[in-house]
Amino acid sequence: MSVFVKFWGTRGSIPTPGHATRRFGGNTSCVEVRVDGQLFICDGGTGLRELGLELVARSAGTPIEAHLLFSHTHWDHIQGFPFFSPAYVASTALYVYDVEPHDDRVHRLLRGQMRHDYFPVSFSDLGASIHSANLDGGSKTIAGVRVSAFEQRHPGRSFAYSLEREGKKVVYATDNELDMLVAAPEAIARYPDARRLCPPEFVRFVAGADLLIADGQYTDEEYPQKVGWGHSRATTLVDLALAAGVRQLAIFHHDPMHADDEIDAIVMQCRARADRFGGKLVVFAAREGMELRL
Amino acid sequence: MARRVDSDQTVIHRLEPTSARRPSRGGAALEQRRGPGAPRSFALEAPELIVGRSADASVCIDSHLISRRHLLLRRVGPTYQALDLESSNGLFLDGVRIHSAVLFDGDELQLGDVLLVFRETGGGT
Repeated sequence: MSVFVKFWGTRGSIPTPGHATRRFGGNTSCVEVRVDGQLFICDGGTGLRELGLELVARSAGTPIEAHLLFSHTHWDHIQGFPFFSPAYVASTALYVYDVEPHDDRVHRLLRGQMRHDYFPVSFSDLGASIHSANLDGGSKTIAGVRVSAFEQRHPGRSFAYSLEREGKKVVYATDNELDMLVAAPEAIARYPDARRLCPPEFVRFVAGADLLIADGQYTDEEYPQKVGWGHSRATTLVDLALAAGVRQLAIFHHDPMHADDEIDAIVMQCRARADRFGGKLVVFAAREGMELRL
Repeated sequence: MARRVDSDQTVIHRLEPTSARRPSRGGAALEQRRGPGAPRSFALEAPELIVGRSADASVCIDSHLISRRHLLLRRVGPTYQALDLESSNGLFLDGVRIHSAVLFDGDELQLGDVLLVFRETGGGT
């Protein structure tokens, strides 16, 4: 079995092209997960455009089939969809997932962002077959891959997804204010070095992941000014990953104000925290164009 | 020098070390900091290069901890992409095992006991 994960967009909130962000990238959230050739796409931020170009090149004319899992529908997670070139190809089949049965909110909002007020091409003019699908309320096996959803803490709600097959597990958990869910959140500022207790149900959801891709937008110093914005301290992810027995943690949804060097500093801080707690955890910052084989 | 090897007709460009740690020309370079033969530096100019133990590799490193064809460097625009050629001991970028990644100045690639640092040298290629 082969599981490949490739980062096509790692930035949060808004694209940030430019020299200061070239190493970790400026495109917004988009991650490709391939499990034995089955293609899953987590979020459709601006990184989706380049993924689309690559898929067309890779496919060499054979039909493309992809399962699209959206954490939520804020702009930075859907804005790449109108530029996703496989959507314009008649032989392409796309499955756009909501969690609940009979819910087509994500599909509807993808259509909505292509109204003529916003974009020159209508959704109805896309050549591909674009189906609304769902996860049976929380979990479903898709093409042999167990896909599960977990509702997170984010304005307007968001979902984390786990993808599992034959003992391999990837969790995609972006746009989640984990710091509001930990035990005694108000104590973190006073005792930043103390272990943070994450919600047990979320720890179980993440448990044993070979790779956890998670929102770590803020430093410890920044977070107190960003409470309620829906994103986490990167350091809190370390505590989650250690509690859940995760092998590798990819810090994701980089703050648009953070240059590459600042993201390096966040990684160093998180690695030091993992070392201090004695965990065997690989911590890194997701960077555009990086591909892992699990 | 360029020559063809393997059934897939991959063009392998054989590199010799430059005398200085920094190459004098080209847009990119590999500095070998650890492993057999270090320290030395290779200017990268060809569109594709193989790093491995094989005598046919563009950058040949005589270490039993690396594969015969371990790492492919492929030019992508102004820089290079690193691709693990299904090596036995893996390819690590700044401590993370990767399948592939686009490289930037200062990136450290670990292959067995070999440490390579990618350099953007600013020259045109």
